[in-house]
Amino acid sequence: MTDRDEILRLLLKSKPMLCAYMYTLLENRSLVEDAFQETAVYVCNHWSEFTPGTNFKAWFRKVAEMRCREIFQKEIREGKGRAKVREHLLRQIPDAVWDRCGDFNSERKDALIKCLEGLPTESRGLLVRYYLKRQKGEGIAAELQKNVEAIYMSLSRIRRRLKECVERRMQGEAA
Amino acid sequence: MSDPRERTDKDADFEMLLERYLDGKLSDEDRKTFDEMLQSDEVHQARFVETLVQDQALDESLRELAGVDSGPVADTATTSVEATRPREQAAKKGPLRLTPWVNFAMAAGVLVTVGFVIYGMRQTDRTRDRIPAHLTALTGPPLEVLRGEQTVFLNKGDAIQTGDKMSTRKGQSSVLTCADGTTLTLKEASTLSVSYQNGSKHAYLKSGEMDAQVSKQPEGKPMLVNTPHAQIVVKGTRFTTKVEGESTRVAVTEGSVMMQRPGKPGRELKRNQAASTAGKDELKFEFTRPSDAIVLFDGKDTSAWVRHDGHSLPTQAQVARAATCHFRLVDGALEAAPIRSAHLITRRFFHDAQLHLEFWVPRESGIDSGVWFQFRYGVQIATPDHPYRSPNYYTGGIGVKAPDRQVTEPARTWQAFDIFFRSARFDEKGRKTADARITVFLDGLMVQNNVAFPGIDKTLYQKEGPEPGPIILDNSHGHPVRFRNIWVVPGQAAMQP
Repeated sequence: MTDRDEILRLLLKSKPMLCAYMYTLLENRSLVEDAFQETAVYVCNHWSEFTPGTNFKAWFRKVAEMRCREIFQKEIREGKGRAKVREHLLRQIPDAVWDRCGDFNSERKDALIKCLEGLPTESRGLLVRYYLKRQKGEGIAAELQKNVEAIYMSLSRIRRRLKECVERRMQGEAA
Repeated sequence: MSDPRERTDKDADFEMLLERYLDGKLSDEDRKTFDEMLQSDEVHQARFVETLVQDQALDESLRELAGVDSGPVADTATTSVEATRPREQAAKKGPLRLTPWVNFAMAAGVLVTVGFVIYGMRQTDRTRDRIPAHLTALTGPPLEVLRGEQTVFLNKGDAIQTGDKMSTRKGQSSVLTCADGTTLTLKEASTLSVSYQNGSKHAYLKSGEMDAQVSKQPEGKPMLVNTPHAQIVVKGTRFTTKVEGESTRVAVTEGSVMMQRPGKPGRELKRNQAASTAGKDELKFEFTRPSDAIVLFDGKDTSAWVRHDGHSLPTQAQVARAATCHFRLVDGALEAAPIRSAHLITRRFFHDAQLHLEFWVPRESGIDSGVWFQFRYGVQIATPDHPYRSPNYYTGGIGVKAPDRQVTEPARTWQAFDIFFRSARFDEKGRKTADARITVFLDGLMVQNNVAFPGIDKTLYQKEGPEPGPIILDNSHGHPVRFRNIWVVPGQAAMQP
């Protein structure tokens, strides 16, 4: 395997962490997707700039941050203003926390998919609206004739439940 | 489960804010509270990162699942790239449809032009990838194209596919024409990959040279040209990209492009501007000669110049009778004659002008020369021991002001001035209504930015007035400074780079 292949493998492995990181800057899911594509292109073309043995996650974050800034500039230039670039929030989170808590490897993802399959239909329906249809909390609340706070509460509960389920499965696998 | 402490009300508040945050509905006040909670609490920080990461993974996983889900979103949210799921998951999950990124993971190992191929992996783009681009001209043997893992040979008229990586041989050139009329001319011994993403053209020039004539691109979908050293964003323009060794040079002949080094701020290159990458530094910027420029000196012909003694503005009649060029021709350059105050001036008079000239200083000290406009205003060429001992008289200085930065090169190095000079303006009664202004680039770096001359230079004698005048190579001291590659665009002073 070449170094580049290795770096690309690491990049894909770090995708959830990187996208989360970029979300703190852009606060827009579609733009995050674009930013990750741009990051991947950059990494493909400039993988040799990475110094082996150094923190690849930190390097990816740096590259990703630059792409976010470019997207931000572009949004401003084109007068769309969808991107925010909230420096403040990002600075609150130390690098070490990103490194420690940002891991979401393929085993975890497999576990997550299993957990998703085990969710009650109603919960799954909510996630589908929220993620796949990109509906906002308010929109879902209106459709389901519920309070938006109740929707948030449900989402929060589902997230926690999924997290616990993933942890359980991971521990089960490790055992 | 990973929260080691008990959940408190504060945690519940935090969770609620986190949900609002993920939904993009945090009010300013909420945001403040949220920030504070994050700042002070490592558990919250960890929860924040974990939740965000899980959120991203959820987004992706749901998309994957939707491929087998017969629910209402299956048609809107899935891609239908038929491919085999990589690794062990395939066996476990059966015929899942793939997200582009899983597919990319597979492609990464085998394809050479990964950077661009990933764009082609989106199904929605696949259909657009069939937007025809054809090989419309070709010299030499069939063009060698790496398509996926296969090498194919294309002839004139053949279609280009997304991800194609084409290589011309020595002496060979090819022209690609896209449906919108955009043409890419790949010169000899060059390697280019092309692809589309959401209707946006992407090209990667790995080596060699390419001329691009890009039709106006759809709003928000510029064409992107990458090289190993730079990215060029194109909305519709004509330019040439050349990758040579460790450097990429881009020259724009029409429209504008945005060029940038990885991780550095971009620079817009307009018509007749060029930039090249050099090492890890910023872009090296230059002005190229526009087609409407008047060449004042091309290395041989000195007929645009005459001798003029003294420091005042001659009349056109005096110029017509003046002696021909008295500067010596040395290696394609004009070397100032060792006769004090025998200046070299243009036959033609100019008002506003963009002037390009290159100069060469023979030694590290004792040099005082420059270029003047109308015998009123000047830009210095001097060594730092200039008798006035003022940075205003360093190279790039304009008497009233020092250069914004010193661009020091050792003696006997060619340096370039690009000067945008705007004459002073006068009303019909001869009263000055606007000062003369000047913008000076030294070796592509701006050293004077639209600076006003409150009056004439103190070393010059011609009083301010509306009459145009020649461009003067200052030879007050007879120092053997050399000049070459001199051209001027009359009336170009308004151009702010």
